[in-house]
Amino acid sequence: MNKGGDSELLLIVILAVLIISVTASLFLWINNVSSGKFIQAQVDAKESALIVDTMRSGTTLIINKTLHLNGNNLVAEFGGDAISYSIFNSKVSLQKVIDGVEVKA
Amino acid sequence: MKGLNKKGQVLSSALTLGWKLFLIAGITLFVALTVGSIFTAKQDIRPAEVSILANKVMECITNNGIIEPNFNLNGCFIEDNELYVSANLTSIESNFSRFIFSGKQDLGVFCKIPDMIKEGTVYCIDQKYYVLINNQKIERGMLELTVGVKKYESNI
Repeated sequence: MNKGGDSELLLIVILAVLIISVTASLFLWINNVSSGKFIQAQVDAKESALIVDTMRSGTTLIINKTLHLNGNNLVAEFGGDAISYSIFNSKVSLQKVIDGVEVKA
Repeated sequence: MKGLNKKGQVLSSALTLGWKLFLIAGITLFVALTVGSIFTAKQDIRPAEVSILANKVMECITNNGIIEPNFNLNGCFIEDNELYVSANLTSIESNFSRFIFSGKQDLGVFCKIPDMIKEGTVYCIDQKYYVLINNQKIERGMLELTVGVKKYESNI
């Protein structure tokens, strides 16, 4: 009788630990996903690509993101992720400055 | 009889535990898939991109709103093989007309297939501009630009 009760208690404890750990990890994951951490590099690359493509020749601007050019691809880095997006305004040059990157068209 | 009861109890609790685990896994998977599909979806920026390109091309081939009859698209930002631009210039006052294109020719064909556009394989826009053509004398004309961009893998 005692043995049966012990094993039942053990099962309940295991189940409770499992539910708590699954809920906690799910909550953390949702929190990270909803804050956009996983797609921040993609957003940075595409946002910057559109800005760079819009630039008229002779203009200069500073974008405070981690960017570099790889051929016709603009590469954005965020949290260890690097996402590239091709730009058609190939007459631009990038130079690292303190605040981010200086883009000259 | 006692042994049988014990076996039955163990089997019953194992089944209950299994069912609960299955339920937890199911709910977790459902929440993860639903949330993940919303927040990790790729952002499609091609509508903005083609619009910018169309304006850039327009600026590139015209000079103060006047277009030369022998205009070309060289040096007008279309070096990427995932881009296509066609320009059809027609005069309203004479029978002058000129059609040129640049970029990947396949995309021009894809732009005319509704299913390809619907699936998101390509994104295309057609834009019409009233222009002045410097055809010995200044004539009023219409420039139709078709701009297509593929970049499917990066956007969908």
